[in-house]
Amino acid sequence: MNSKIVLPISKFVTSVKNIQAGAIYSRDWAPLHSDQDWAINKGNLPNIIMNNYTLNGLVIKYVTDLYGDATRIGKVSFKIKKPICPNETLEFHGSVISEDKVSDELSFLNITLDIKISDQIVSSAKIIAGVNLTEKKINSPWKIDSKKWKSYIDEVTTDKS
Amino acid sequence: MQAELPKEITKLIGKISFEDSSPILVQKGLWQNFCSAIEDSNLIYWNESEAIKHTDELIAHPALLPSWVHDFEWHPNRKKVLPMQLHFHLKEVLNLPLGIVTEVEIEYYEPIKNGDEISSNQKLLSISDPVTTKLGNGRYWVIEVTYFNQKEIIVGKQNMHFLGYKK
Repeated sequence: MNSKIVLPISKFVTSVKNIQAGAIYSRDWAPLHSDQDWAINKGNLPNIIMNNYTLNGLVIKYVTDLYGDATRIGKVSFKIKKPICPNETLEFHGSVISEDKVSDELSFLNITLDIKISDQIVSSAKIIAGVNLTEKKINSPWKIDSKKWKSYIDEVTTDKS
Repeated sequence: MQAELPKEITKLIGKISFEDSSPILVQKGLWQNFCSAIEDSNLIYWNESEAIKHTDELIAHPALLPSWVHDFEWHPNRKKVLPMQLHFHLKEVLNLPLGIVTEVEIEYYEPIKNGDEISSNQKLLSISDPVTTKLGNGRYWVIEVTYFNQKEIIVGKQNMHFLGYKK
């Protein structure tokens, strides 16, 4: 596959509660993610900001929501360009840049993703995901052992570098 | 103007310099609360009978991999171990009190399951010449973190890109 496929847009509304919960349940105790008083008065920030793990969680969710629960994420890379605060609507704009078919029931998708707030890109990500795009769903990508899986990731990421 | 790196730093490049052991076992309750926060309904994190078709049992959300080596905020018997100790060591030696993450790359090799015990090691991959940025003067550096399970199998690898700086 050579032509880019534009994926559906999804949205996520941030709140004080979900930013705090994302940080606390990822065991990230840094006050800029959970303490509004610290973030505003000591961190010189407009409010608490979303942590890396929560953002990565949302990136992975975007892909698995689109391609199904069995989608196996191989690699995620992302850059944070602007802090993400509560009461914002995040828009996820993804595209499939390429597809590498390694077997009848396994393809690797190379996906790029821009996360926007009001048309401004706040983060950009690249994802390598293993999916079964056939109607037959006998062999899940998760059944591949970790050594073989790693060799696929190396192969696919080397092709893209 | 280039400032030479202290030997204490150059000798760290390419070598494992810090190791973290798991302060807690991987817990279903933690990852499901995380999934709830981000509204992720993927059944392999939630539903045993669906998960078994793919991963034999429920698995943790992959985004949480680095968090399994984070220490408690408070512990009754010891002081907290900072996450990414190598990053804090570099900041201290280079007298760059402020630091931000600029980019994250993470690869996932093995699913993480309830009861797994995750450990990690940290290696300095590179450090830049001095730079001047909007935030201040400092340096960029990249730290590789390799994660293992209790069977010593590499379950994932992360490259963290930082800017250490002062105003």
